Amino acid sequence: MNLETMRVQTELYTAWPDIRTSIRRMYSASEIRPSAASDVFHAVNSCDGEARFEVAPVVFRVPERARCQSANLYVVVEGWIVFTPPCEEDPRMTTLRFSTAVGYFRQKSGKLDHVFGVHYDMEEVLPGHPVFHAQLASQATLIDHINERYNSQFELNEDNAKLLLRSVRVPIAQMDVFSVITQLGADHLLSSNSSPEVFKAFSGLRRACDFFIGAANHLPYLNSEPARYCYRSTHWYERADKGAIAGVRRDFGTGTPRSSKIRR
Amino acid sequence: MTEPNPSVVVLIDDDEEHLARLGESMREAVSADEAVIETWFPIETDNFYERLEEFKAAGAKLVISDLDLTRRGLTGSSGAAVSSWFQSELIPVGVFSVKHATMLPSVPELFELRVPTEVDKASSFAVATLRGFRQLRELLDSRRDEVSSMRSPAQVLANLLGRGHLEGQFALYMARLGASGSTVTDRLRGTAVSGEDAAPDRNAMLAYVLGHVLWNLILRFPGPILSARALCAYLATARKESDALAGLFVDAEYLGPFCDGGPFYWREDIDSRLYAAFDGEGGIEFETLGLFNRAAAERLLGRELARHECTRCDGKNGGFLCPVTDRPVCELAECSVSASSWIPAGAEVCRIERNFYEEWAPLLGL
Repeated sequence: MNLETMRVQTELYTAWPDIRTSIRRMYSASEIRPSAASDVFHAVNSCDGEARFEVAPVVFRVPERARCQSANLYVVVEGWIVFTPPCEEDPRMTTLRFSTAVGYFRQKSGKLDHVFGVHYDMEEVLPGHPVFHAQLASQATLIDHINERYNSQFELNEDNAKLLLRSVRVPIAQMDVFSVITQLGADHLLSSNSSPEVFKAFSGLRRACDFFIGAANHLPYLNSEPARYCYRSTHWYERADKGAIAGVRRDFGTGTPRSSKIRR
Repeated sequence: MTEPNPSVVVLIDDDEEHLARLGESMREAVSADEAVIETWFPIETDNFYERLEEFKAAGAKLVISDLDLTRRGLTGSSGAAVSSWFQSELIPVGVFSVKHATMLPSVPELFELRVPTEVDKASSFAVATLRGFRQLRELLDSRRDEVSSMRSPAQVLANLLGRGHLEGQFALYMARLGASGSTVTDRLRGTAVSGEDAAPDRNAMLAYVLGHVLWNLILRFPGPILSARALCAYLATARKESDALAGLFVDAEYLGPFCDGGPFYWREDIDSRLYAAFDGEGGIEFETLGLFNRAAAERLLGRELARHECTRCDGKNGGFLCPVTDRPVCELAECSVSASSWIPAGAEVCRIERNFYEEWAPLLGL
């Protein structure tokens, strides 16, 4: 682990307790396992000297909707993320690449139904791939992490995601692990009827997840007009010339664009 | 000029000689302006609860009691009964046992204090406790209006300590406060039933709750604040380096309530110093957090630090403290696990040593 990675690790370790606190304040019966930051974020030795972190499978136990009384939904989130030093405009570190897999499981009569699975990616190289995209697909194997974290023996009842067409790449926003956590708070712990304290806790969750910025700043084609203000996903396909990418990146790595498929 | 307003400290023991020595040690440790030391040697003809009422009426701010008080025939008297009675009055109580040292667990319930059995250590502990609760109460009273607008005890504590941004970390230590002290919960419930007039002073209750959380959890189980021994583990070094590290990190020392029981250190300030040690340098690689921390501290000190006594890595790694075995551990899976059930949620620098965990996993596991 190099010095920059150590520094990033300290930021991750600082953000994680705030995330846990915010989620608990939004819904006191919610749970996150594992709880310790040192069990969640693992620095990966990289020959490029990159600040790369694997995010161990984390299980969030939340209600389906904020008004529900029982936390019967298990959401498993895993992935990895690579950080790079701040750009000139913003003092926060930035994302270089990421990949995230998410599996939703609903508890029903002592079994689990796999009700949603998705894989979020970033792709700068392969033709036809929008830079940030989602592929809906079964993540049923993530059930093993629920059983491990909860010392349980849930069986998979139905895999409702198994017939989804995997080759559909939906252009999306940057859905790194922290974006997914923010989404979980918004989807399952917040409603229009939530109390001011819950809204405040959600603000805290967003703040805790905002200690870095996205990867778009180092991609010229996302920073040129009209992409900069249009946001139509047609611009997500434009290709940057490699010289421009290498020039913008403030890296401690090679500056080579890569595919960011999650590794299993 | 403000008139001195000494606090009343009550010492209760059925061992007359031990009581006398403890009282003497306390009177040496604090001035008469700071505290009046009252002692009680219970005998058969005493009325147990009347005496407790008398101490409360005298303005007791801290009570230190032996576990067994029956030597002179006062049946029904015990440290547990003293503890329970004063808990309901929101007066901190510490319990010790010289005769039956193994009868008391070393880590007390949240709203009880564990007093060392040696007289000098007991006296130091009592003084740190007295001053800590008093400092906390003074801080609360000096910012009464501000505190009344705050929405959580963690927010109050973080702001009182001048570190509002650490609220989230402190909040994790308080995740299950309601399940930690039925007596305190009863007081809260009582206010709901009886109405506002019967409510105890809110700052008194806050000082009582936050004082115990700070003294019994946050300062005991390292997270945002490190004790001297936790600092040694964090820096992957041996305990004997404590004095050298105290000199090195004097600017990071925690000076808030209960600091007399220290030294304690702000971890974020320690981190800033450690990163500054390598500022602007490239090509530096470390396998674990502990290795980096020690290397940075060694650079700041200008010499090597002693290794701790871990048989797995020969004292090379570290970075975390096992609160069960009281030894440094590292984050590598073969060394330790987080075992969240038995470590307060905010104690990010605590991990359970793997060997111990393997033996007790059915109990210590998630």
